[in-house]
Amino acid sequence: MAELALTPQQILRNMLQRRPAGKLAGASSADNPLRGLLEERDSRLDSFKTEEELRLGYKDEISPYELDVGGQLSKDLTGYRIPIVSDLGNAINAYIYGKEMNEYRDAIREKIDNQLESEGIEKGSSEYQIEILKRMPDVGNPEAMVEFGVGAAIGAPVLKGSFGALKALYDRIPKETRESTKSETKDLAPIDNPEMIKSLGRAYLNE
Amino acid sequence: MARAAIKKVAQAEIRAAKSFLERRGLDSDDISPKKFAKAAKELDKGFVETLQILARELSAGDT
Repeated sequence: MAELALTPQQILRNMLQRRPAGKLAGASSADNPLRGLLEERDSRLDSFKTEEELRLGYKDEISPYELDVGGQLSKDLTGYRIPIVSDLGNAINAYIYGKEMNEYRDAIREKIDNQLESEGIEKGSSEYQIEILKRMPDVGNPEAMVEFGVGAAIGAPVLKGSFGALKALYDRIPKETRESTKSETKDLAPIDNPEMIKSLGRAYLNE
Repeated sequence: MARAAIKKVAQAEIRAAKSFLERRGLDSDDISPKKFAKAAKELDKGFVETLQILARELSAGDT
């Protein structure tokens, strides 16, 4: 037994000199150390299936990355394949949002109708059509159009109206209609008085 | 201007929606039970039909 005893230095030297055992000691691993690790990979991993995959009966020929679990789930539930389940949640959000925007649009329309009526413009007349187009909020800006496109793509406006365009209504109209903007600007006196311009200039320079 | 009048849903309806979604393996993180219940109420449809309407629109009718 005494002859088996090694000094700490000998143990360290042996550890440093030790060569890999088994497949790792082959010539291939000398070329590429990672290859040895790949060869050691447990082959059972290739045929591993989750309980969900087994339940749904996916065949071996389908790559794990091509499994459409979400799509299959929605297909079973609704008859339509929606690969990403959260898309359904997004559609619900968009629908609720679109409904709210419709409510706002209707309220704006009602308000403008009342205004037109008080101005003596008959509903349904050609003048009414012109005025309503003028006074209803403009949703022709590029951002609103992009939102409209996105909304349409996810099927949000489906049930009623277009939520993208309505968002623009929400952002702009409840605060001020064109009519109110017009009347506000009308009340402001034009700054064309030389004295006023001078005083404004002085105030600006004193700041 | 008056605030938009979206129908309100009762707690019991939200709980029912949550239970409905969970029983079908749909996570509450993916679909909000409250909004789902609200959408069903707005559409005046049952939960199953609401889900079908949304799926149909999302998939553009492709099965």
